[in-house]
Amino acid sequence: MKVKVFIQRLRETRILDLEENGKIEDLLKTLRISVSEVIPVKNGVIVTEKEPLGEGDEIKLLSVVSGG
Amino acid sequence: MVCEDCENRAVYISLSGRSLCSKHFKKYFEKKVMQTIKRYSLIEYGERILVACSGGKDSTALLSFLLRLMKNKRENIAAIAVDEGISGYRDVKLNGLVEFCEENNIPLHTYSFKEQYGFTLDEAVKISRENRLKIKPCYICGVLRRSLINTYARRLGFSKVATGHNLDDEAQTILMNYLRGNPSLLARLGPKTGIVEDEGFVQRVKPFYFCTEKEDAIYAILTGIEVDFVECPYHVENYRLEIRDFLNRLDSTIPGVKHSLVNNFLEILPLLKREYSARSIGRCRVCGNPSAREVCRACMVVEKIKPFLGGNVNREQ
Repeated sequence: MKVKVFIQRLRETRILDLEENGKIEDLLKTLRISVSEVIPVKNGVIVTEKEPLGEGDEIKLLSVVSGG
Repeated sequence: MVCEDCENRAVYISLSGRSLCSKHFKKYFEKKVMQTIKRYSLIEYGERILVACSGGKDSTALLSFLLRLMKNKRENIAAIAVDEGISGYRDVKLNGLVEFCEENNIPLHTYSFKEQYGFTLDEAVKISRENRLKIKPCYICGVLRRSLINTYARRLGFSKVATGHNLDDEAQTILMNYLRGNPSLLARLGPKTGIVEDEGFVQRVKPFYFCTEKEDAIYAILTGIEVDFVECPYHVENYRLEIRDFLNRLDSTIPGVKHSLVNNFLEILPLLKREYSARSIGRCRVCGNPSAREVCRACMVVEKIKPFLGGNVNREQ
């Protein structure tokens, strides 16, 4: 399944092809991003890392780290 | 995934595995902060609190939290901000803070490096690089900012300075000081900073001490604080950045490692404080602020930069 992911820290949008029945935590593993570094937003709503993903989902990974 | 306390969608899973919706996350977060404040006596009834604000999510969320906590004593709360002079960064961050303070009718005291020391951070960094002074941007910034905040907190008559430091910040600082071999700096950490009581110091307190950076960010979003992501241009030169990424990677494989680091540190902190409290504190001969050295770190930085500036520089105190 394909999902669209915006990574705030990199200011970058990617289309990723993931396995069916994947969750946000699987997406984070693929991107090598720690759960503690981002707030996942699925289709405009804040979700946890256990949230299942579906075809066409739009994900934003908001960065939690301070800018210095 | 739904909240364990109701049927709403969960926004967060805590370290102990609790899944929480927006409403119950806010309750969980505020309870944790209140417990920290009470356990360590961070804020006593009737105290005047100055909140050190950067315009970032942590300090703005703290300001928002303390406004609600002290709703019957709003006159006892104010914000202080330091404009270091980082073009395209601090000016952007401070615009949001000014708006927040105006909307909430909070006095905001802003001081700039330029007006206080005669140079912006950008200018100081340029001088340091061109003249091989080897003073890192984050060192200049941190030392001068802390000095200014302490000076004006004392002058304005506040009994405590509250900062938005969180568990991630503290875990990073602990590890940085361990690895650099700075036990005396470790002794200054904890929810309440400082080792020696001195009328020249205004105590700094950290109500978000046990909240992770992620929890702070979620709380900020849920309370309507705009969370942007503008990085300080000097951040990439920062040792802290390496430590932060290392701890986050470690936390992915060993969940809770940052909590353990901080909690274990708190066990030995009383011993460190006792060891280093015997050392006497004097006054900086340049500015008169409390200092363990003859000349405080802030004045040492200013003295190094000053000869390369055109015109006169005043070290206002």
